[in-house]
Amino acid sequence: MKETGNADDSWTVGGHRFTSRLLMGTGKFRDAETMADAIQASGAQFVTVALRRVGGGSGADDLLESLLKLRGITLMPNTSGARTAAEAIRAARLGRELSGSPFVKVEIHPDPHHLMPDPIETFEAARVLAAEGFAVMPYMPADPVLARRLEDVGCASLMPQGSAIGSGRGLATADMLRLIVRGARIPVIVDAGLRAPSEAAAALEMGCEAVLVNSAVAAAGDPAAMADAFARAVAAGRSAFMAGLMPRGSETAATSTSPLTSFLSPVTP
Amino acid sequence: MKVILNGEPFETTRADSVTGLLEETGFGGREVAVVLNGEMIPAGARGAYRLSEGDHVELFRFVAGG
Amino acid sequence: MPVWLDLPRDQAGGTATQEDVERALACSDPGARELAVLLSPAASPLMEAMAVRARDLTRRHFGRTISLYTPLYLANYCSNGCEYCGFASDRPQRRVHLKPSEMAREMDAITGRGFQELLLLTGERSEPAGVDFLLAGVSLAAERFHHVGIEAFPMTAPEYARMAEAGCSGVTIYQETYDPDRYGRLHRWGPKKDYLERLEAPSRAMAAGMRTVGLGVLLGLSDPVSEALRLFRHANHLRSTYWRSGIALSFPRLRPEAGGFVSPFPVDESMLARIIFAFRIVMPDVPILLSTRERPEFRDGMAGLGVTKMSAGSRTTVGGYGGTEAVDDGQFRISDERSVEEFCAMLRNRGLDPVFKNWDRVFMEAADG
Repeated sequence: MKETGNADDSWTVGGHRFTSRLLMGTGKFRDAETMADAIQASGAQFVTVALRRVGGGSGADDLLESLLKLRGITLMPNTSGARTAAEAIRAARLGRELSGSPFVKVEIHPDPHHLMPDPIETFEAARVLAAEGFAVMPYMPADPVLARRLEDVGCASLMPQGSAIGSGRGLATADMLRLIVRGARIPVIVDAGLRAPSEAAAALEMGCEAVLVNSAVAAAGDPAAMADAFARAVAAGRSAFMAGLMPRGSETAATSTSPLTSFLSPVTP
Repeated sequence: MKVILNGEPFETTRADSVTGLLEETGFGGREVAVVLNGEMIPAGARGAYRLSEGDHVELFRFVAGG
Repeated sequence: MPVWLDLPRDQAGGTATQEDVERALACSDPGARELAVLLSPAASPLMEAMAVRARDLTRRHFGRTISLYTPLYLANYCSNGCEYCGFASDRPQRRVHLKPSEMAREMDAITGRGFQELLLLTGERSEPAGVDFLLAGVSLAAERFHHVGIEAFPMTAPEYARMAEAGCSGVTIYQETYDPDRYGRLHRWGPKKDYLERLEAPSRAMAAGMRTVGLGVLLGLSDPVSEALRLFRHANHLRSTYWRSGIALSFPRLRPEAGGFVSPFPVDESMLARIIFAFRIVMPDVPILLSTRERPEFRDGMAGLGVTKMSAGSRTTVGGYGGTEAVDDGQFRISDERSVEEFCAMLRNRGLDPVFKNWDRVFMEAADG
């Protein structure tokens, strides 16, 4: 069971304390200004960024500047583009050099069409990077055994898929997510597949520590307004989890025609 | 001196160190990670790395994504 | 007492209503709160509904099967002063242990009855019956049985690892009572007096790679509801920490024994059944054991209603299965004296399939080689 009893209901990962439970991706925004506005509206304190080779010596399109103008943001470099553990490990080391923080979101997807995380390469990269002192946050299939294995090798959190990346199918993996949350002693952050704020609320209601969204905000009609909606949904979901939900009343116990308990004797031996 | 910068030939005019190359390419004061012949060069150590003819230099930085 | 064993005050279940019980029964993901409600007085009129739910969940997770095992006491030496135990050091028992040749004969007699799973028991660690003695028993049993468990004394992690290496795949160690004060009073002397040493033994067994660890409380020693709630917390703590090991639960009730101990918290059959139903409902996938301490009619009724694993044809004396002649009075008196054949016939009559072999040792050997 995780410790959740902080007065400010903050959560901790990799030794850093956060009060916001909404993490943001930085891709797919129409421009840097829209992105900065959305991140500000989301209240996110934890933002993931990709690493690329500098193009043709040009200094234009500098993402970092608009991000750094926002206060209180921790950068989580990701390894997007990596297709193997070795590539992800290299990207992680470069990311640490640039960010100066121990966080790395390990994402390895050799399949360019569906961007499904490769569990075997992800495990290997997580094992090596955790041993090097990284706070490893693996983007992973919603597989409860893989979750245990990743926790065992020292990951700082788990980032299982809600559904396929960019699909907007919400918490298609809900049953598996519940098992992951029940077993994990590190924060579980749902990553990928969310479309609507209600889905983010549902993830928090089931005990996930946080969610990460990107497309749902970047591709919304008004990204900043959607970021704000997600922030409030996440807060509501968290409050509901802390309050303790009423049990679902779907399964009704049928009554038996021949009593099952007639053999019981009231006599104490 | 000719080096391979981000996979393309690049003729330096005066730089003979990593630091010099960054200045010459306009990345002097900027946040980039440098990889020289496959090895990452920490920011604090760049001045100590001399460039030689044909060296492979790669520069990385953060971009939006993921 | 460790934090994970603390009972939150709001989970006492004392103020639960019948409506709360109905909600707990319908809950899709019940936990500690629901367990407290199901064990509260408000649940007493809903026993039948609890039994139905327990049976349905048991069937869903275990099918219509009952696993069978039998205990073999290897020795009855004991330096502990457990007030309730027939093998306590102040009981006038004849103290004996089986020689390896006698162990082998007893085990052969047991396999002759069809069993593939054996539970080896001893008292507290002693000069004639310590780790090496038990290891010899485990090795002999591993040649004959597919699953060998031990119910002995708390060990160190390296000792548990040696047991596992010799072919032991299960450790049973009941806390008896989770109430530290009562625990201190009931265990009058001996190494078992150390509450925490015993409490942490299951963790050490799991850390050493034991496949299953059996937990339980001895009902009758303390308030059964608090005991059940603490047992649930203990089980959950172990499951989240050692995910590669399984747990099994057992709810033995105090039985008459040679010393004539009188239970301060007698638990009737109805409460015992309710505890078993409630645990099945909150832990649908965990094996629940029922021994021959209970009378035949109760065992027959509970088979498949939560209970998934039962002993049969048991002896609580050292030896006594035919390979050797028992010379002591046994740890406690058993209630169900039917033979294995009679017991299996009963199970089949009730539409249940007795299962002697749950998994095959050959896989373990293949993994080692």
